[in-house]
Amino acid sequence: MIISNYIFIGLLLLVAMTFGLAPIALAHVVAPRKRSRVKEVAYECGVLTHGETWVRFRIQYYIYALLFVVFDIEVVFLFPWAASYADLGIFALVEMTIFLAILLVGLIYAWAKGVLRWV
Amino acid sequence: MAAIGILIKIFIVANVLMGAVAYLIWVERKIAAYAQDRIGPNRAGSEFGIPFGLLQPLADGAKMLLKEGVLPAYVNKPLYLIAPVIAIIAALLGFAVVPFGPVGPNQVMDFQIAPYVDIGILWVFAVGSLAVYAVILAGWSSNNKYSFIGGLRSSAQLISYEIPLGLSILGMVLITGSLDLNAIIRWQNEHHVWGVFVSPLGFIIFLVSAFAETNRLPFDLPESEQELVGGFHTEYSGMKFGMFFLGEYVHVITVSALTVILFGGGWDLWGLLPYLNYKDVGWIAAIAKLSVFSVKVAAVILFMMWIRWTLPRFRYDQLMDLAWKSLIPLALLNLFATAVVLQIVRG
Amino acid sequence: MTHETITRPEWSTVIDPVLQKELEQHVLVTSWDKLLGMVDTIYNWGRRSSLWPLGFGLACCAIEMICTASSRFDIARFGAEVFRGSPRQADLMIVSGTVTKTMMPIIARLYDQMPEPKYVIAMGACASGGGPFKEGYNVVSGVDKFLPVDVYIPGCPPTPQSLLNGLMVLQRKIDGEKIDIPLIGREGNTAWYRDDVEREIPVPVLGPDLIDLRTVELAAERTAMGLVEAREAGLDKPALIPAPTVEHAPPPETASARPARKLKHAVARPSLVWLGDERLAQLADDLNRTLGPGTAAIIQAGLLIPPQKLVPVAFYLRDKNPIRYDYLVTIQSVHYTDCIEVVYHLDSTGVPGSLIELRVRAAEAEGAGEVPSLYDVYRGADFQEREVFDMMGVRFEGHPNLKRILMWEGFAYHPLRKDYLEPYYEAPAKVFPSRVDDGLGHHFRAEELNPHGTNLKAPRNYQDWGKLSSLDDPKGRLLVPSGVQVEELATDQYVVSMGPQHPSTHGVFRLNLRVDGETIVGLQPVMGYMHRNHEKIGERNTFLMNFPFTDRLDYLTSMANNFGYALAVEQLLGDEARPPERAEYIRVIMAELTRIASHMWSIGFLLNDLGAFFTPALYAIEERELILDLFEWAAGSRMMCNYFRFGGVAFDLPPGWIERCRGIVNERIDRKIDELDRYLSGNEILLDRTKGVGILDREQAIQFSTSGPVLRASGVAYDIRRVAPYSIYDRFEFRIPTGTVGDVYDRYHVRLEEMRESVRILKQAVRDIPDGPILPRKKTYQIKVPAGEAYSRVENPKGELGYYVVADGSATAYRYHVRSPSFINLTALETMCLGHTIADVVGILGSLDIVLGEVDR
Repeated sequence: MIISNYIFIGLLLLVAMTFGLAPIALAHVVAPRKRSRVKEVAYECGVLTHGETWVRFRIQYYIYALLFVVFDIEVVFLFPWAASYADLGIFALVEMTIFLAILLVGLIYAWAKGVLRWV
Repeated sequence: MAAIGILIKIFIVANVLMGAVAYLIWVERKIAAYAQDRIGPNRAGSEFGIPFGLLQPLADGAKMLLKEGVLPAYVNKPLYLIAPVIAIIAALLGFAVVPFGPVGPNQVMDFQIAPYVDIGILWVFAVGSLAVYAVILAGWSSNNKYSFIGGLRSSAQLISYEIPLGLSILGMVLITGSLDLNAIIRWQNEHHVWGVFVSPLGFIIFLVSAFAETNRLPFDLPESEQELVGGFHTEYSGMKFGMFFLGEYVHVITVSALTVILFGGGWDLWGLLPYLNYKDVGWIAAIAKLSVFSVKVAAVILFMMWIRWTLPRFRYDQLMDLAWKSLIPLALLNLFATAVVLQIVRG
Repeated sequence: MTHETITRPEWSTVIDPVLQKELEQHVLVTSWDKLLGMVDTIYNWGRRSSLWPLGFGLACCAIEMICTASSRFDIARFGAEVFRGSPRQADLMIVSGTVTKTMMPIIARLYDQMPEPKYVIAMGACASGGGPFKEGYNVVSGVDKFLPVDVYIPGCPPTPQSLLNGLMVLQRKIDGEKIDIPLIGREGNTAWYRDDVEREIPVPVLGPDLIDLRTVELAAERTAMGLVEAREAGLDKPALIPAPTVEHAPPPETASARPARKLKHAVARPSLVWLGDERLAQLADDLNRTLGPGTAAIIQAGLLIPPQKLVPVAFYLRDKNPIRYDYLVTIQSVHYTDCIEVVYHLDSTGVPGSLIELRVRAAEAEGAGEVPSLYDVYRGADFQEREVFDMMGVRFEGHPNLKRILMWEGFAYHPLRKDYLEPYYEAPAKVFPSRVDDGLGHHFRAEELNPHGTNLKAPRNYQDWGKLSSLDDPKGRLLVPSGVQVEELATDQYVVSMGPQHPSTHGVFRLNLRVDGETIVGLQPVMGYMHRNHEKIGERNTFLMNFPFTDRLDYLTSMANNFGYALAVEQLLGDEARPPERAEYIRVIMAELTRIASHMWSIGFLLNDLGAFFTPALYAIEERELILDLFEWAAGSRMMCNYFRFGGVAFDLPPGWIERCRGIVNERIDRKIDELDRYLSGNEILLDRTKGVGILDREQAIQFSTSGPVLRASGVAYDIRRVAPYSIYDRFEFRIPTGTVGDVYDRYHVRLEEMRESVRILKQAVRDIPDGPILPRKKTYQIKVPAGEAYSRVENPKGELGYYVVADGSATAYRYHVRSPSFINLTALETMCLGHTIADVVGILGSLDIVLGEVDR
């Protein structure tokens, strides 16, 4: 029963892939193709691009990714807790308060360290 | 045998979704026009006697299909080609667990692609996050500086807003005690109370995060035409560019549907109309519920469009500040407050 | 009625009646051909109904192109409102404006980068054939010299209706296309499906001039043969006059084409409001006393300073003189027989209206002139000195970045020198004899007169033809200052070019940015992509003929541009050109209406730059349209009004005009301003995006010679209408709104308040306007301007617009320089942007409100 529910999703995946690939494949067949040297140069407002694009880019973006990993995993823990909250009683509330507090302290720490300040 | 029936259903739903997307683009252009005191597309189709430019999406589609797909020489080809496909797949998969009508063993049919998946919400978020791959892969593989910045912006933005988005709905999960979207609708229907009234803060956080998740103004930084020309899709042309467009609008539909399900009562209408009780079965009830749901989703989408044609855009650091310094603490507060209140109410 | 068959173009959609009947009878597809016809129809219908233009505007025409998207015209009806920033997603290139040589490689590259099928509309006279600027040395005589053009739209600029018509013509052309299907051996006319048709346009190169790589051998050969020199030898050349001397001597009779009658020398003054003869004499004495004798000599109301004394004099004037000359107004240069004179105008923000003029003389020979740079005294000298260097070849010692600014590095000439003759040079003054009908209905075209057949001129000894490469980008070679590392973690920095084709650089402006993540650590404005030789052409135009060219400087404010130019020449003409009362009122009304129209545009597009998708901009354009209607009614043209004349205006106001103007002023515009204020000023996102961004403090604003709303937003109440009143501005009551911080928000708010003040002036003006003549004497086409020099300043919506005119008594100006507020305001851009993010740069640039026609001239 459970597995068969996910089969629907598998079927949807098939359909979705068709929807994703078919137009591109069709376009590949029917659309014109005129290659030229200038056409295949990277666009940058009409001038030639200067220097490499794939560089060691600013760390700031990745810091958010790190923070995200921490927070998102904790959010995932919250879901089963929330779903069965009604059955768990006061103990669950206390426990989760502690959990949330830790989470919040983490955020405040990051904040205080200036990680959240965009530079 | 059943699988074929399901396949047909999926196919129909996907097609309707695509059609809806095509016409959403038309609606968006019309709304933009009315917001700006203009008329908007009204020529395409008039050759065939069809008014209001209703064939505009077809013309755009035909044009894109027959447009050369430039494959720049310096891109990372496999990733460049796969990115738009991922965009569409992720958007469609997210819709799998969205109940757009009544679902249940007694109903005429299940108005949901994958019914009885009891972790509905989690699925939406899990798959919704896949969309970030489309954007960042497109941005990185294009080997274009504007695309690259757009891709990076997008990935940081999408993941940042995922957290408040997840936290904001936990309030509703607490109240209804289920992760199943059908159960959430049913709870609202039983009590004739919509989520927006029991969890207003959650609703606001959800709505703001939803705007950010779908890259709509005032959060459309990955594209931000005025800064990055086209952002992550700067180097895409023809059908591949069209796929991003379609994916974005499917995402808008999914998010709007979720908004309605979680906070708008699904197809509930406070018992004002008959046939809108979760106990009602039969075709009339199904169609009534489907219609009410569609109208509500349309209203949310129109709201999103209205905002788009009204507001200016945030700057990147302001956007991140909003997520981390306002929305996440607020969402945590909301969660805590909901839990406490529930504990008090239930004794 | 004749029964002659009219051959229709094959793309015509008008269906033959016989065919129509047949179609009605046989609705069924009966043959293979018809089936193919249906495929064609569907194929064509899709493309014609979904023509997405490339979001790319060159000059004046681009403004009309934007208006075409606004509510009155609404190009969206045709499904063509989706202006794409990236060529990858565009189907149609609307070449909207003058195609300059600097811009041509960019245009060609953008065209090449568009996917097939693609179309080109040449919008306006310039894009079609060079237009009024064709004779310019930096102008390509029509984009079709390089790109295949599908539709030409006449007009200068074409009205939005014309553009819509052009679009429809293009749609009809698409209707006639037949798809090429090699599979069944059908040959259509769709070149993009055929392998045998080359569609790539070789990107031309900026070498000694713009070089088309397809004809480079021919160009090299003809250059080596010396054909250009041979042709120039036989031409009448502009005569040089000697620089003015202490004795106020009128220059000798000049060898102009049409010798003017002997005129008395005009009273030379740097401006209508200036320090005055007595105090100037005293200032000269002071300078000679403190900095040694021979420091200053008075020549025609200006102080002649020896080059080696310039910097001490400037420091003295700025820091020690009782009137602190802290504000450098302009720098310009004049080419005389014996020297190149660099002329500086200085004013004081403390005692405004005490304008003085400094003259510094450098050696005349090309490249020999040297003058010390004032960069360290006035940062506002930065771009202006580079301009003088570019145009005249005078070197400024001590300037940290003395590179060409309007032309490109490697351009072979200094074009404003009198001995530089453009490729299309014909005679020292217009009207060129070749343009006059020889009686046989034959005119010469400039191309026919140039040995190269195009607007090309290269030095005879040029050797590097073989080295020319389209990968070269001489405009991009400018160093982007490397910024400091923001953090300990070393990350790589980007150099990214924003523009010339970019959705929010307000035209073909380019910023070379060095970014670290989102943060700007270095910035170099690159301009000249719209340099269309206004000043050189202005020296060939007769005085009257130059009016329409001033329209095209800041093409959003043509009336106000006319105003400044009229004042400059009227200053030379003296009392005989004093405008009658009614004309003065009309001028003020027009100038203030222009200010409102321009500020509306500016605020609307600032919001657009901040990311509000066109809605505020299009609302602002609605009001502008009403004002343009008034202009069209009075002058005959929406944008390029050409309405002012020396001593008055061209036509009297038509009956009913004042009433309508009164209606708009009294009942509509201030309500709309309040509406803008209500919706925008309190919007939180707007406040977040503008408050504290792009701060230019009071001292910096003065140092950088900014003017107009930019200067006033920094708290300096310097408005030419008040500090050096011209026309009848001293009669009106109005306030000078100023800001406090000098950020983007203040600049926005100052503009908003200025509109309110303009409405106030307008209300007074439409109330008091008297009847009477509009010109002091009858209309004339021949104006005799006495020799002399004049500098006029008007408060344009963008800032101080100045015209420096040197007349030699002939029919044309000897030297004609425009102090362009947009250009000089840009000097401060780098300082404002450093440390901010990419998004802020767009907003800051929007708040400067530049117009490229004026920046590059």
